[in-house]
Amino acid sequence: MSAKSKAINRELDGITISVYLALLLIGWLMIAATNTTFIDNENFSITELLLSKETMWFGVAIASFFACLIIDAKVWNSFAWIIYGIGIILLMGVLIFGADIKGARSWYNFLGYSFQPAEFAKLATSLGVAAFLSLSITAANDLRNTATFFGIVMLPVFFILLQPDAGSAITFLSFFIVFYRAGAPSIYYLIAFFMFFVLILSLMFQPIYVITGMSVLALGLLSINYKQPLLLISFSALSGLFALVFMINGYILVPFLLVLGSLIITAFYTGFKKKWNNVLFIGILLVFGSGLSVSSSWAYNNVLKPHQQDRINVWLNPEKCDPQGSLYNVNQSKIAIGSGGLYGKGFLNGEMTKLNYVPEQSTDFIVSTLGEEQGFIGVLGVLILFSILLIRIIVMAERANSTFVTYFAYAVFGFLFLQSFINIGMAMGFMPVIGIPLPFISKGGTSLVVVSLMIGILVKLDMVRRRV
Amino acid sequence: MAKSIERHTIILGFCLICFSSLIIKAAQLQIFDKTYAERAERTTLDKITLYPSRGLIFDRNEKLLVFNNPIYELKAIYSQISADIDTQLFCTLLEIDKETFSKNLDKNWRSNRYSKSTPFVFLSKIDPEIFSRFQEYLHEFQGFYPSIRNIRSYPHSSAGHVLGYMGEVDQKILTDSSTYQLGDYIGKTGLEKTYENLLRGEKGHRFVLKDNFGREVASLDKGKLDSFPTSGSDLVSTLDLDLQAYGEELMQGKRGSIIAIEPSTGEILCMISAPNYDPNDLKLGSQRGEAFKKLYQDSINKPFLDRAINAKYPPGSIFKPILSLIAFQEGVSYPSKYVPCKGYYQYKTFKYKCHEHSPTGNVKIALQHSCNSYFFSMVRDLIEIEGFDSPEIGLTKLNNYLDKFGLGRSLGLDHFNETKGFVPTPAFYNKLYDDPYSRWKSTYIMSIGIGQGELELTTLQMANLAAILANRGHYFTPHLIKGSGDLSFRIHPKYKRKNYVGIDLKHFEPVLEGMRRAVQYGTGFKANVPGIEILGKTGTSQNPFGEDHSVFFAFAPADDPKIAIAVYVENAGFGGDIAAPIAGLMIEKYIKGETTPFMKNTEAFILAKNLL
Repeated sequence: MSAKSKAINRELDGITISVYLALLLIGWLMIAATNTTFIDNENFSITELLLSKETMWFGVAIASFFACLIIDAKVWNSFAWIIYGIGIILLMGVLIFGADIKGARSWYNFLGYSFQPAEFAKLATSLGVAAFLSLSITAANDLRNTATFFGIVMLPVFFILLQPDAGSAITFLSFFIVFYRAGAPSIYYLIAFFMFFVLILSLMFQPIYVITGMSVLALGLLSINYKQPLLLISFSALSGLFALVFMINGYILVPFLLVLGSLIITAFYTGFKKKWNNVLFIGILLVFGSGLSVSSSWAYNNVLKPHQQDRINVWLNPEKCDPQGSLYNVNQSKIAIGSGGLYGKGFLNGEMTKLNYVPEQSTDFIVSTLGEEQGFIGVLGVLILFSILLIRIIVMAERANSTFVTYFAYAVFGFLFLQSFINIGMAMGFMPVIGIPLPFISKGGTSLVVVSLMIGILVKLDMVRRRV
Repeated sequence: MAKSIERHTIILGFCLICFSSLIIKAAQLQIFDKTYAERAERTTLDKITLYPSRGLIFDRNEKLLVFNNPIYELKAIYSQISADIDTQLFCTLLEIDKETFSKNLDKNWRSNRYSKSTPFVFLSKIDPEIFSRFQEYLHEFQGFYPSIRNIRSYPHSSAGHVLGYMGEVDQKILTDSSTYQLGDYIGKTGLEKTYENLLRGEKGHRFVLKDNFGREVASLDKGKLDSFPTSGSDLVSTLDLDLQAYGEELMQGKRGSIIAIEPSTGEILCMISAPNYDPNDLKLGSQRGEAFKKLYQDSINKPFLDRAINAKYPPGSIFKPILSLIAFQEGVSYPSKYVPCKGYYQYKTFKYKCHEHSPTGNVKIALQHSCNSYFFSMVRDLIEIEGFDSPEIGLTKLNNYLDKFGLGRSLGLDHFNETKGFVPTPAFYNKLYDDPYSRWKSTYIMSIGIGQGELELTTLQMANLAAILANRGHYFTPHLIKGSGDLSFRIHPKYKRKNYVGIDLKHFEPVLEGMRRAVQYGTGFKANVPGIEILGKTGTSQNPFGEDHSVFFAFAPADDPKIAIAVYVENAGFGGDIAAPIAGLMIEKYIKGETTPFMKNTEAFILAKNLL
């Protein structure tokens, strides 16, 4: 063994590489499992598996990973903008040259292999964003820079939405994590989360219930203006309880008016006695929240088409859905996962998935195969592997002595986290059904190679840090 | 920098909280909520029942009594039916119209009963001819599957009551037994019910895995759990189909029953109840409900009533030979005893009618002419055996004998629901004549001596009495099944056992001589068949509601009895007129295998007689 390779081995992040290879192997076996349509294990052909396209992509992915370890680390920062540019050009090109599959142009097809530029764009944009944020002139809370940042992210999203491929576009939300790490004000995120929950609750319940709830909350929040907030907190808690009892019995208007009345009185009292600032802030939040609640509910009922409403209902109100219709996919997936039990039915023994009860099981619903054949232990194992990987990425991000590496690491973190969370959650009916692959595990060559490149580049960048 | 550390902790914390919620959700789905596992099994696994073929039933001459006929069903799986099948051809082949086609396919998919991916019965009870034509084109109609089930069929139209009919298993049996599933057929009456366990066979099962289209993909565990159906055992009946059919023909237009027994074995040769029904009418099929309703609602003829074993009648004078045997055995009378008859029997100021006949110098003559006075006297002697004031001792003695003769209790026929008949006991009379100052006496009840009064027998018991006389003192419990295709089958030992009635052989000779005379020169002369020595006795059972019932019992030939028979015809008047000739014709048919020209007139007379 040469001295050089020995040095590399010592300085590479071994845990990351091991976890990466483990997830890759699990993915390869799961794809093999979904490809086997026969229930008898005897019909499972190892040669067929070894010669399959999945094995080829598996090989390409590992090769790309190790290539990244060899390629000079400086390349990525230097060529970030060029790679970003290539990504955008590929996205534009696919709209013209791409194959039309089910009304979407998301794939380049050549020689029987397909390539998904949206996946590549994830890597390209990550490099672009990291390069931009690592510029010395950049400060995240500067308006112009914020706009540029959003421009870099929104450009690929714009082209992806033209394909259209909402699933891939949604994964670009993960750049908000990068932006947060770069110093974006927390308050925006809090407001965003608040609005997000208001939106979800408004789609589940009538707006008047949501507004009543928010008013109770606002009443409680006003207590921060007082030295002894206990009285107000208990008052708001009591009024909340009171409203709840009324609501359960079907009377909403009475508690709504009472809660709103006491809120207004308390607000004016607090305003005159203390400060208007906090009162105004809470008031604005309440008004916007109420507006969002009413308008989202209105949009749901009047703008959305029935099949779009169904999408939402499958996630938030499954009891309203037709189990043989819109709920079918998620239901079958849940049954398959549930039937796995604690230990699973064993590799290649998952009847539900083997017999094609779960649609899209090799891509969007790959977890159903995992859940059915490997059981809770399998799902838990994969989640733990993802957690270890994500922790390692943050460790690498934080110990890096280049902001480029830090932000690139957070971009990788964001994609891996968001995709795995939505994909696994979706298969269990916990998240809305969005066509997002599970990194490493779902079928799809481009995704596999791109995440391999991401991890490979990151590990190499991390290794270089140590050498300095 | 402090703020940055805070931020990456927040990011990581948020990420781990999200993943934890996924773990909790997975645990809920996979560990705590068992319904998903059950639902997976229900969707993927199908248990297909393989029905056994029910055992056949043959008559004593190996003629087929009951066999199985396939009926065809067409099942469909909605999700597999292609939209572009040739509906026109489909409907023409099955001889249905398009409305039926669309109506049968239009199920309520929202209900739990139907699913688009599981088979449902599209068309049932398809004619085999239509089906075989359709089957050639079956491959053109994806999503349709044939299914075959056997139903009981009969190559004749006889013995409906004996064989019984099949029906869908009812709720009570479903709850009590795990053998049956909803929709299974079970023997409801007759031999089908009695021998259900033998005839049924064992169902087989196949476990198959279905894919998302409901198609069979593979068998579970390579068929390790599968089981083949075991056919039911064939049964050999004691019935003689020809005799049974002939008897049914003779009983056309009459109400009543005929039972013939082979005395040496207790095997029932025929068991006829009239009016009867054609077992083919109650075949499981589309027209069954209508036929069943019609038979059930016929309250005048009550064709479902098995008069052979489920009706009880006063036996009339055929009881006299039995009484004689008992009286001789008890020593209260003797064959050469002379009892004067003036055309009536007088007790104090009461006169009990008899009829004109030559003097009854002994029991033979008394039986020949069926003298009532003679047997009033005899039954009084028996009941007053311990004195006039203790009739209950005498009656109990008599009843003990009657019990040995199989009266007042079920004989133990292998056919469900056999009626006991009625033998009045001292307790019964104590209740009937409930007067503390004047207890009942032999004179109150002496009409039982001539087979009237409270005494009631089933026709089966009467035929068994004939068999006892033929055997000179014992009988084999009558039965309808003598063997089985199943070699391990043994008929119940009780059917192999001689049941002695406790009468010494010497007492039979004078009684049988009386019966010979009754047929040769007496009341039963119309039963006389040239070349066969028949010993019999007529009875005329008084009926306060209308015309008397005509009774006759006999056995033949005298020295080597092959057949013992009882014929009971309701409202047919004098026993010698209708019942005796029917018995004669039956005996000739059985022994000679045909009706000789000499008997043709009698046959024509009986066939022409309509009493309904």
